[in-house]
Amino acid sequence: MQTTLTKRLDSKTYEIPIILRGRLIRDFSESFGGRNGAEFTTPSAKKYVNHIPLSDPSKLKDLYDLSVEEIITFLYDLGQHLTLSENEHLQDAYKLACEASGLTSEVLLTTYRSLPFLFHPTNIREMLEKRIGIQYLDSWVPTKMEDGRTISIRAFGSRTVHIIAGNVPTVSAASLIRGCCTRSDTIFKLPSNDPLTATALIRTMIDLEPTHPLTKHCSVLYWRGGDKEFEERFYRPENIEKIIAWGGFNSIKHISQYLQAGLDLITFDPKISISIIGEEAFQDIRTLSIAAQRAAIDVGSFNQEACLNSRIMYVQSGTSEEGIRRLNRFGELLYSALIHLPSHVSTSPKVFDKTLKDDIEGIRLDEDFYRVYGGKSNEGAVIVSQFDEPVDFSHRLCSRVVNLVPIDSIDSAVQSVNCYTQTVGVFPEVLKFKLRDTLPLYGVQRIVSLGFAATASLATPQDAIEPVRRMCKWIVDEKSVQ
Amino acid sequence: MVISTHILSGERQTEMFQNPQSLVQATNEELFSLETDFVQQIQLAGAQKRFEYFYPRIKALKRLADEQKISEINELNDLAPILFQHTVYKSYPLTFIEKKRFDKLTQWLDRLTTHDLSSILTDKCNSIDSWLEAIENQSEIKIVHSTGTSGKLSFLPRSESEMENFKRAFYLFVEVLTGVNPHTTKIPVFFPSFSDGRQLAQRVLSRFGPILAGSKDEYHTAIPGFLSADFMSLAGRLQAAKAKGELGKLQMLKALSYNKGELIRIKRNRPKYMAAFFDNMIKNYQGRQVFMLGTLTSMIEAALEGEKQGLSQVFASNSAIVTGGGLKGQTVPDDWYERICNFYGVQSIRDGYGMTETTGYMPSCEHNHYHIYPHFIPFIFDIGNGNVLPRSGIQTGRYGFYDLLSESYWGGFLTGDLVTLHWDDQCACGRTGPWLEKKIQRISEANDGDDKISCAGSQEAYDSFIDYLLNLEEE
Repeated sequence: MQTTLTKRLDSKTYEIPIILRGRLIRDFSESFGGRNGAEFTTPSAKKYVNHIPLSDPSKLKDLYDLSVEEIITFLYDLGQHLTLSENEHLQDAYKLACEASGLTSEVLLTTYRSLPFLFHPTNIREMLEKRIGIQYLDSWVPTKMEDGRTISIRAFGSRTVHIIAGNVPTVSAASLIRGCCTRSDTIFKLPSNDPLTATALIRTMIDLEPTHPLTKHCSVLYWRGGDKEFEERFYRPENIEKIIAWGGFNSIKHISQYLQAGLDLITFDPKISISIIGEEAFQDIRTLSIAAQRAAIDVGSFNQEACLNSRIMYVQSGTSEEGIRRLNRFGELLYSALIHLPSHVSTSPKVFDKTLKDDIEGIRLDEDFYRVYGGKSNEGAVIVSQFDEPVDFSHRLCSRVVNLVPIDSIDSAVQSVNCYTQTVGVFPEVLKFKLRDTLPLYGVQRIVSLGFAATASLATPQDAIEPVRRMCKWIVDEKSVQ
Repeated sequence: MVISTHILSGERQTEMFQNPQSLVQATNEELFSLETDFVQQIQLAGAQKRFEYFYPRIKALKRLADEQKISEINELNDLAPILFQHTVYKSYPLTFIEKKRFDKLTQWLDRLTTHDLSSILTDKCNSIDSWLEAIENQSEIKIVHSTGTSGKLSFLPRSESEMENFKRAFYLFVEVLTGVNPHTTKIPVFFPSFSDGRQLAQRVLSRFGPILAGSKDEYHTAIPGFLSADFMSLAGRLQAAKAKGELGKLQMLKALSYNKGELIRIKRNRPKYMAAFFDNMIKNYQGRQVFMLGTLTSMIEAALEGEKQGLSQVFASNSAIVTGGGLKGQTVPDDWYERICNFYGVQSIRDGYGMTETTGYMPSCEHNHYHIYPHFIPFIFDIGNGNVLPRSGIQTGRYGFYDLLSESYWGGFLTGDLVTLHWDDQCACGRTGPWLEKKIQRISEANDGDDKISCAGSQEAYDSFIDYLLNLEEE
């Protein structure tokens, strides 16, 4: 197996090829710095801009020679080849991610090792059946209408670009699965903080079956987001039908300028997640410890790099002196649980955000209003507000730093969520039933039991939308009454 | 023990040891020819005295020093772990302002100053301005606020007792940049901004501008009015919210009380004020030696405005144009430097490095190095691990300092700036002592950046905020 990645001996620069529908392009000419230090070079995207989109849409036809079961089988075979210890492409991606990613090598190792499970037929079949209905992908499904007509519906794929997030490498795998299963022509734009995972997956497809239609409809490249000269020529309805974009506010705002009729944008907006912990947590020390343990997992998994990680926890400790004392106790327990999480789940972050560090040191001396557990080095911290408001820098919380906010009534927590709130972890379970009809009205998209924020499944909606359904074009064959 | 230095008499040396504040009574010539060992001994003696004084009087310092297990200062580096983060003076919860809990805001400030604020009455306060006024009326504190980085103003509790030192430090700075001794020579002063306010520039110039100029008649500001802290704060928050895409969250701004009439007046009259400012320059001061100072962006803005009116070579070439604040975030023509020199009629434009928290500024010399006065004890910290770097050689890292002239607040600060400091190699200008290279960067910007508005960008934020409020009104 030829390796994807070449590390130049004399420097920390990596070479990342463009892959266009099974073809590797290696005339490296442009250098980029990774978000956390690693540097890489790639061929010029501008040079190949006319070859990157699928010029003739009829070339998608080969994907329709495959049944969904054939696609699932191919993906399963691919998954079987994604064992980290045996796949050199993936090993390279892991090595580079260790430098470029915000995640530490231990946590990255766990996510790379979990890749084959994502490709398991049971998971993929479940996703397709529950989110789309496999028959719609494989055939025209007739429906008898009230007026007597029969209408047939089929889900078609489209020509897509995935602007993937690099904070967690599983995003590449999930996007690949979604693209293949919807019979889309998929182009990945690599993120600078995970510049190789998607490339490794597609290189493995080429090794496995270079002429397979799925292999021939996957491409991957890097260009600097915001490169107008490239993007203006690339993001056009004659090239691309759907853009699936993950990312921060600025990135989404930037992509929005290219939108026009015929070019659809599916966004996974920047989100934050929170927790709501009811007064029941304080019934005895055992319950409090369990709540702290579960809360720690929601904060610490993926080292708090993901949107689903909890950053603010509203806790019904009460805001009286006694309430604050109880909350501080919970803060101590949570801090202890956080730093004792096993290293395959969570570690001290690789890089601690410097602005956040300054913010924390700024409030550390205000003991009337905040109490800070930890945060002296890079291990993470629990900031306990001593009154019922989050810290002013709550939008910057990361690197395993969580803010506990005391509340008297659960209503105060409900009023604090908005359309940027993705996941809400709730404790105890009974409180979840009370909240689930109300939280969505304020914008919440996912409600989980405290401690389970990180166990997201591909077979559910995401960010309150049905991304796999939206990636399809829903075509109607209307038959008039005879 | 006093190391002999040829410049100062034994009596002066002893005085500097006994009272570090007397440093500022020396001349520039004296201060920049002192030997390093001598300066460091004065600084150590001064730091010991200041720590002993402040430790029992400032709660936040006591807390930090106890936590860091510092109970006395035996060497300069003992100060390193007890410098206050630059975020400390804006660490109050914003909600205290939004919910008008000015009693809580006072409680927060009380932990940061030697003055007792526990009996200050704030029940009549309904804005930041009115709170600042209440503090001013009921104590000796005269708060200086910043321009509103990230939407939060820093509140530095200065008091009258520091003003004389500030004046002396400021005059020293002015003398280096202009070659004119402000104690003896008076030249007309131009300041292209608001005439009054509690932001540093307004505080300093409204007080010292007329004295520098020799009389009120020779001191000229562009906008007759008060730069409101409330508007600065709201403008900053608006800018920060725009950058984060959270404009919707700012609906609460509608509910805040503000004087729309005042805003409309400023907006409507701004062109008129600027025209009058230039008119006065041309009619009464063309070809004369003047002193003009302001943020770099306000200087450029004024020059471009003046160019439009066909003006150039306005002042005598020995005039002093002094700026600070940098270009950050503003779009300006590439040839801005040549154009402002040409407009004002000077060979070069000089600047200084300093911040709300420094007493006076560090002047740049003809070799473009910022020279650090001996009343500042500088520290450079490793960007990665935060350790203090050796006080020798050339060190690049985070800048911290102890300001021996502070009276009401702890003088130790850890800035957010990345600098390169030369400890030993004497600058070609002949001044002794450590100096900073010209390139100074915000650490947050070096580190992916965030939504900061630098002091240079604040005018833009202020203007766009006025437009925002006026648009709200039309809705």
